[in-house]
Amino acid sequence: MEAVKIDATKSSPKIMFKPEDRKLKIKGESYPEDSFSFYEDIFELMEEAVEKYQSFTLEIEVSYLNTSSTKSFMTLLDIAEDGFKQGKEFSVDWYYNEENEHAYELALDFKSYLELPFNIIPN
Amino acid sequence: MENKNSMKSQITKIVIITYIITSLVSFSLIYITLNNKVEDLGTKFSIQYLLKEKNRITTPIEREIALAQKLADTPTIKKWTQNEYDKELKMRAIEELESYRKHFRDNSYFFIIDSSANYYFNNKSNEFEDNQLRYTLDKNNEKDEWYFATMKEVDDYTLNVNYDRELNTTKIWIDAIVYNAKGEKTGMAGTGLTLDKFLNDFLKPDSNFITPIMFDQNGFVQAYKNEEYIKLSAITASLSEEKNKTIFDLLNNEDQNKIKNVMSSLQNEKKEVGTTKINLNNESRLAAISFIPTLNWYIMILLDSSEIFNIWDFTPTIITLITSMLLLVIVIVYFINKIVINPINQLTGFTEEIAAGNYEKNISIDSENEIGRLAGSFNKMTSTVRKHTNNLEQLVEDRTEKLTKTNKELSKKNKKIMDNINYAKYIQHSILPDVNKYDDYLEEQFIYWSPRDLVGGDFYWIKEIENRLLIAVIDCTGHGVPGSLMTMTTNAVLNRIVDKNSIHDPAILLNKLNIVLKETLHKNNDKKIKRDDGLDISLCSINKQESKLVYAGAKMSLYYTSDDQIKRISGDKQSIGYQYSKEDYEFTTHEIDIKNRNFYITTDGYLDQHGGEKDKRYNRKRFIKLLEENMHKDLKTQGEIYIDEIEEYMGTNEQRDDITVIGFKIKPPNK
Repeated sequence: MEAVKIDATKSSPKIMFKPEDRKLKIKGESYPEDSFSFYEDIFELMEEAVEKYQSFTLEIEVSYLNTSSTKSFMTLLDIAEDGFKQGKEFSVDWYYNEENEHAYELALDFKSYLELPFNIIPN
Repeated sequence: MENKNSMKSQITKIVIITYIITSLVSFSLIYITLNNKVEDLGTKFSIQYLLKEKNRITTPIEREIALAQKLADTPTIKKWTQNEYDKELKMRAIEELESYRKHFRDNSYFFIIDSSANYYFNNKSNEFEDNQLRYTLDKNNEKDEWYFATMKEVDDYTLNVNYDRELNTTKIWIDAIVYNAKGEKTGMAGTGLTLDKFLNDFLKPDSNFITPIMFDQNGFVQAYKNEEYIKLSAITASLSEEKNKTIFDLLNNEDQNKIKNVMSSLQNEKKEVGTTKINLNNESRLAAISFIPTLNWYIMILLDSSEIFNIWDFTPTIITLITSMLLLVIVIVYFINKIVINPINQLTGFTEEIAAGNYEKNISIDSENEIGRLAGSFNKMTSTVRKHTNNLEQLVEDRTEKLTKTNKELSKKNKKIMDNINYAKYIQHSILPDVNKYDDYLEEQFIYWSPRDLVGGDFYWIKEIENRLLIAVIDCTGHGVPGSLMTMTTNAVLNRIVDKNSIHDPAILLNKLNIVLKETLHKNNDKKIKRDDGLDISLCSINKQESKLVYAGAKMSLYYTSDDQIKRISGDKQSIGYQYSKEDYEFTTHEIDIKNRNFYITTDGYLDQHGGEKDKRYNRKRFIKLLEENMHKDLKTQGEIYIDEIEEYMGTNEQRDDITVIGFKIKPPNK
């Protein structure tokens, strides 16, 4: 798989994928005009990872997601959940700022839907 | 135009300065060289001149001296001095004297016999024939003093120069001492020689730049144009200790020494002529001196070289030189102007035209030198620039035309889109209920509905059914036009469910809404399409008779006043209408006593708005605090405060999401 690097913008997060790390990092705020278009390639990347890798970590540190970005994150986490359900070591590390109740609530919300290991880590 | 930094004035300055310096140096060199040459020539001339004069003076005098000596040595004469009155001897002696008289240049002689001091004399006209004894010298007579002095001091012969004021003649007297056989001085024989002719010849040279002087070993002047300096006799003078004028009285100390040095060098080194430079009356003179041994005199000439060489004699030459050099300078400056400066000025003017953007001109310099070639290059350059400029202008024109066309099309399209959206806004507004129509249920209320764009995904919904009033705030996925389409669909679905099934229980209604929306939105979806739409909602049902409010929520909360606090009921963590929304999900029902409470619902657009000093989310805590601070005010005022608050918080940030906030107070049941 090829490395991916998308720089952050005002309304979209920084996205980094390095095949050697088996890790996808998403960091920043997310409220793009059309979040489905923005995340479409990341969904594909995640599906490919589920096919090819035995282990994978989603590292997320977002301070704000708008409603439609939240739905896209749900989709992305669902794909990771598929990997976990195939018996692979797929997990989520969710970092948040302790002052940011929204980020923490989002994490709890996502975690409640999912069965894969979901670590909520304050920093 | 002309300034002092222009090339023209610089070159002119340089040429003039060079001209002046060169002229000064050349003229100085010429002057010095000429002066040296003239001095050289003057020296040579002086030497020749002196030698000639020396000969001219010496030769006749020496002859006379020799003759006088011979006379004094004649045996007859000698014997006569011993025996003056011997007639035979006297006759023979007079014969002898008369014979010598014919040979003397002056045709005169004198003869003195010491024993008697008798003075014999005859002259050219033979005036005293047979009467040669003229008188007897008297020791006590001042006039005769010379004889006795000479006899005492002179051993061979002496020369005396006498200036006769009355006759205005200068005579040199040659006095030769006569000895007897025993070697005793017994008399004196001699002759006079009129020096006038020699001296006049000497003192009046052909050239007016020569001043001749004669002086003796002590410096007493013997001949000089200024006769004051000449005394009757040098010897007489020295004896009488008169303060006679010497050559040295004419000179300053330094020059006196110079002359003395030359005099001694003539004596010691046997040089014929010596020269030196002295000042006479503050004018430079070349002095040439020679010694005449026979006279024991020095002859000197002072040469005024400035009379020989005068720089002003060269005036015509100098003027010619200056004029021709000046002409040369003018010609050079003229040609520098013509060949260099004027073309450069032309070029400068030309480049200024180019700088001003005028590429149409061509420069014309008809010369094949460097400047001509430069002008040629300039012309080439401007024509290239002209060509490029024209091309660019054409290109810009073409592009502008295209852009204008595109712009027109774009603004046309934009207008069309905006028209559409404006119309959509009108339609969306039409589904929003008029809250004032529900006076029966609501005592006061405010509604703040502010989509991020012209239309949005937020809306509120009010419906009366079976003595109940249903109030809902809905946040559909997305905003703008897509969001507004969702609101239209949702509005229709809600109305249909309520009208068709008379459902007024919020939890059941949400469940039904979820099922119908999923059916409606995902009819053709397979799982591969990740786009997913749905909504969050707070739904309240007001039952006036029972004095209670029933609430159910899907990811949206209800806030209400309780004493001095705001309480919050979180909606269920189950969105509505999404693919993953569970169709069998049972929403939680909450019942709240309406007693004099305010109820508030907000979409997350208010809570998520970024701004403030730290550019952070507004957030729920702050929202609840805001409500608590203002809960006792009337709701209309509260609505205005909440609008101002979020707008102030937003500042210059953009609105991130659609915002809807409602607040209401329910009328108590009719008693």
